[in-house]
Amino acid sequence: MKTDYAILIVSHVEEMADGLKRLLDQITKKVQVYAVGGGQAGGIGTNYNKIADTVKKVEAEMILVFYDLGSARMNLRMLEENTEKKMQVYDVSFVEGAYLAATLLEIDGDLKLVEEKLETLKIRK
Amino acid sequence: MKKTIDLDQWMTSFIQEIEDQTQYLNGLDTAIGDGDHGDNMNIGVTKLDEYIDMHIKSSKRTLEDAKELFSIMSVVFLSNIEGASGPLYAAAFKRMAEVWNEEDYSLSQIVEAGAEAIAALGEAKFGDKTMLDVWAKIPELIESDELTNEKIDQLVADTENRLAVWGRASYFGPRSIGHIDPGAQSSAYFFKALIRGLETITG
Repeated sequence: MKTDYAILIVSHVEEMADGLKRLLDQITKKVQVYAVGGGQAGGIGTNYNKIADTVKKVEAEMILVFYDLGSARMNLRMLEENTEKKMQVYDVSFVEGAYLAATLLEIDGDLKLVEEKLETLKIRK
Repeated sequence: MKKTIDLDQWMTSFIQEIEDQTQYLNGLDTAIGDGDHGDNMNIGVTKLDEYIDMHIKSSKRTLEDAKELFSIMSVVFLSNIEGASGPLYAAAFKRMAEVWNEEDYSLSQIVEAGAEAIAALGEAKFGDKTMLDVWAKIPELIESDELTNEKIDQLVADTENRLAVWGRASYFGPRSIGHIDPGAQSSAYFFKALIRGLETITG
């Protein structure tokens, strides 16, 4: 089912990604939330293939991506070049950024407003 | 000026050096990182070695097609290394594969393209205490025929007293000073292996 927006959570820790998804699932009905975290063998890190496989599953016009640490951003940038899916990665605080986006998209899928608000959460990652 | 390279020698030396220096790289990364740069690089080169063994006849192991080799290296590093170095090295190798033209290439231009890819992906610049502190200077060393082990060692040593701007090291602030950057060190091994690849040709 195609929805307008989807949120992708990327973390170095599987439980952290799943946990944040749990938090967002509590407040979303129409916005789809995807989570991917940890390495291939369940260790700490981000695995390009794991993230790519998750992105393949997403059916949305655009994916808003939130990640924990800067090293995840590198993998995400490489993925942006290699996927046809429309993705936007936000360099904002992880939990607050994802939560804000989920909240606003659920009320009214206005990406412009979401991005305006996300600007206030921008941090050096 | 056209330079020929023994790719097999280059890769073999690089793989061997990383395998030998895994714990040393981990150690560098422990001081101002999460202690796994050596393990990460080891995984990358181990998988690369496996690929080369499987796909290139062992009796006549020559790597003639640099374009294909660097494309493969990019995929191997991206798929197998789960820290920042995976995508960073992968970006460099991918770009190098793109610009590598067997007919008429300048090695320094190829390396420069790799350095630019790293800078673009990581947003770092020379002096930020990253692998770029080595990559950015290699092209000019090649151009002026000064690509030596000593010069490369100096580039690595120069990272010691710089302030870390990126990654976990940057959280240390001034305490990142006094430690060599692990990515610069592993990059040094890559280019010192290149020297061996060049030496083999000129004999």
